[in-house]
Order: sequence, then structure tokens, then C-alpha cells
Amino acid sequence: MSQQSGIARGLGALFPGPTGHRATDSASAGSDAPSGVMRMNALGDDFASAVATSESGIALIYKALDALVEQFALDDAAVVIEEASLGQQVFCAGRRPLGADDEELLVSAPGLYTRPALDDHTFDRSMMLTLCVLALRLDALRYDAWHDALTGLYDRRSFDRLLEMAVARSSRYGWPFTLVILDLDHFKIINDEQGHQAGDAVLRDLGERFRRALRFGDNAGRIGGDEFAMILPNTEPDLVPALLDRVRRAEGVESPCPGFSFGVAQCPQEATEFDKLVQLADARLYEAKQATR
Amino acid sequence: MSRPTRVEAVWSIDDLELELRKLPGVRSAGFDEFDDVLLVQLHVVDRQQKLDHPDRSDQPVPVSASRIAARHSDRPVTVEIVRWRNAPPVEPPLLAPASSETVETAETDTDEIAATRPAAITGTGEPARARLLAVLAFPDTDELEVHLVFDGRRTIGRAPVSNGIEGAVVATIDAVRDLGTGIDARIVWARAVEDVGDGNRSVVAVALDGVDARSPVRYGLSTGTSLIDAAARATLDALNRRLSRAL
Repeated sequence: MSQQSGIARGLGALFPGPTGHRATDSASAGSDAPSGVMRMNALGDDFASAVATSESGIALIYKALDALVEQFALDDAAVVIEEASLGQQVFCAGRRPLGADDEELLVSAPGLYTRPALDDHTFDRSMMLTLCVLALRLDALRYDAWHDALTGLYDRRSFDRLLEMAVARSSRYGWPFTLVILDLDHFKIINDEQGHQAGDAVLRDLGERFRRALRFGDNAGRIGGDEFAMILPNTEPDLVPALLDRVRRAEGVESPCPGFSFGVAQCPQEATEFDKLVQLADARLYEAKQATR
Repeated sequence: MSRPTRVEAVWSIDDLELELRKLPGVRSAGFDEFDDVLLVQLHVVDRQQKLDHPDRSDQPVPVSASRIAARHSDRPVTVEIVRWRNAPPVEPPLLAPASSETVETAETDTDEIAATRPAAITGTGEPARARLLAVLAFPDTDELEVHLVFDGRRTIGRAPVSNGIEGAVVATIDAVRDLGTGIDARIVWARAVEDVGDGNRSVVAVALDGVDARSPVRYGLSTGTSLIDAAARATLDALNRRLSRAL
């Protein structure tokens, strides 16, 4: 694919022009094409606004690429982005897998590439590239904002939100779920005797076990120092021990699984409110904890 | 190439893709569907390590990717990993290619997990080369830039655009020098052989010295989309054999 060269002019070319495939060349049209310029500005604003408000920057990048392909009847379009936290990334229209014709994309400089080439007067390549980088960066920031940096699981804030939604869905549609709150046994001893690095490794490995053992639809979060919680849809409490046993036996984690205690609460059977549900699971965790001492 | 089709999914494929792209070295993610199976294709560059998720950096990408995909999908998933490595060094070509356009090649192999499709990309077996990315002219500031890439590293050579094709040659030598090749070439002359100004019809010949002790003057010839583009390519043509050894 060929990269557009030079400073391009308008994001409006991503979208249909009034008379054909090519959008107005605002640079050459100058004051003769004020409507074209306004159109480009408006669409640029729309894209920028979408980047700021959309929950998915990646989806926006693909949407822009797909619009480009559609508008200019292209065979393909791709954007190569270089972003500090994600490295160099290649996005192809349609989310398609790369084919034999795409080898160059993987070593190409950041930019917008199309097949066939578009002349460089048709759209603002640099603006589109900038917005794509921004969309991707926002995605990464959103991801980091919702996940615990140590374990990669949901953090307390996002888990609480997930739990609120689960409770709301349960009361609205009657969808049952079980809340599990889990606390490591004697974690303080690990920290005191082996150091915080060892403690962090234990937490990280447990997060890894959760990721490997939980099912599609289950959600796990780290809600405190050594405290974890899970939302298990359509799961009876008496099935929880078997699931946690799967967590203990998760393959691919070399370190032994730390001991833990847990408490469960069922929604809507036992509680239909967020606070009561958490209190109930917490109280049962406390009972289980006492039993281990 | 067939027109791309959009993957439709009832669950959020965006979250899946974002998480996959956070894996070390993942440069591209593609998705396809056949029957009830979701195919995930990842292109991974081995030597590019990412530091934002050190907890995952020691996990093999195929394992991590499969686990992530399974966690995000409620249907069967096939994960295809296409690894990119630099081609092993080979003897330099006896003759310079007819065209001086140099292309970095990459050897690939696939590490598929339950994949049912062949690898999308096959290796070419040619030596890795520096590749000309762009020749940019900025007349308003009298700057000319030649952009090269080799092994993921980009260099930019600069010269006054008012120096014309000689400037393009000097800028290309500058960019090659920044690649750490140790080549200290100098321009002897550069001539426009033909300039029709129609696509690839500009032809430039250059003569360089300081390239190779056994051959005091090296000549290069190339077409290009413009005179400066052709001059940059002709310079790489002249450097070609020495460059392939140096890199």
C-alpha cells in the first residue's frame, strides 16, 4: 500500500462528497469551496468528539478505516501507529488478518496507507493519524484505570461497578449470580518473612490463576490488599468450592497456590442489594477465617 | 486482495483486541470467522519487548493470547501467531539489483494453536536490508529529509533541498551513516539521466567514493517518482553491496 505524502487537508474525505468519490480539494479550491471546508471541519470535530466520548478507541480507528475504504472504493486501508505504551501497531480495515501482500506494513513508518494510493489532496492524513493515536492512547488509559496494575484483574472501583450492574440485572431480569469474597490466609507472614516482593508475587500468581480458571462471563477483581472477589453468574453456591479447586490446580503457574478462605452470597435468593450482599459474603468469609485459626 | 469484511460479534471484540495488543511484541491483530470459530491472528515481533505489563512478559504469547481470547469469547477460538524475525545473514549478491529499491524482508514462521489455516505470510529468504521510507522536501524551510528503516530502527538524513539531487544523495548518505554502518561515502557527482515527471520516469545516476577500498568509485542508477526520490534510490543502489555486508 502506498502512504499519502505531504500535509493533507481534510478529514472530510473519509465521508461521501456531494458529487463523487473524491472529496473537495480544499487547498486547491480555496475560497471557492467554503462548504467543503466547513464540512471537513465539522466532520473533524465529530471524529474528535467521538474519540473523547466513545468507550472504544479501537472501534473508532476501524470505523475510520472502513469509512475510508467505503468512500473511495478502496481495496484496503491501514494505519500504522507508534504509541509509547503500546509500541508500533498496525490496524487494517475490517479487522482482517494480514495477508502475504501486507508484509511491508509491519515495518512501515507510522502513517496512513491505502490500496490503491490516494492523492495527497484528498484528506488530512496527519489529523487522522493523530486522532487514531489519541483513540488508542485513551483506550490504554481506560484499561489501566479499570484494572489492578499488579494482578491485571479488575480493581476495587471497577469491580464495585460490575457488582452494581449484576445486582441491577438480577433484580430486573431475575438473573441469579453468586458473589464470592476471598482472602489469603497468613498473607502477612509472607510479607513479613519473605518481603513485599514475595508477597506481590503471590498476589500476581493468584491473579494469573483466576484468569486461567474462570469461565467466560465470570469476573474477578482485587478489592483489597490480599482480598479478591468474584461474580459468578448462574452459579449455585455449592458449586463454588469446585471452581475454587480449579483455581488452585490451574496449570502453568509454577508457584504453589496460597491458602485462602472465602465467603459466598447469592443474589437474588439471599440478598437483592449491593451492601447486604457484600455484608453477607464478608460475614461468611469472617466465619471461614475464624475456622482456620 | 479481496475487499475486507467486518467481523461481526455479539460480544465486545474491542476489549479482546486491546488486551491482545498489550502482549509483548504484538504488532497487528486480525480477526476472521469460519463456521462457528473465531480466528485470531497475531503478528508478533520477537525482539520488541513491552514494559507496560511486566507480569506478562515472561508468558509465551501463544499461551497468553489463547487464554485472553478464551476469556473474552463464548465460542471456539483459534489463535494463530505469526512470528517475525530478521532473515539470517546470507552472502551479498554478486550484482546489484536492477532496481535500487531496497526492501527489508522478514522471515516468518507460525506457531499455531489448533489453527486450521496455513500461515498467512511466508519468508522470502532474502537478506534484511535498509529500506527507503520516504524522501520529503520542504521548500519553505529549504530542508530535504531522507527516511530509512532497518530492523525497526528509523534514521533521517538531512540536506538543503536547494541542493537538488546532490542534496538527496548527501541526505541519504547521512541517513545510512546514522544506521551505524561505518560507511563514510562521499558524493563525486549526481546526474539526472531522465526526468519526464510522469510517475516512475525520473532516472538519476550517482557516483560515490569512500564506499569500498577495492573500488574507489561506486556507481548507482535508479528510477524514482521524482528526481530527489530517484537520487536517494540511486545512492542506495551505489551502496548496495557494501550496505548488505555492513548491516
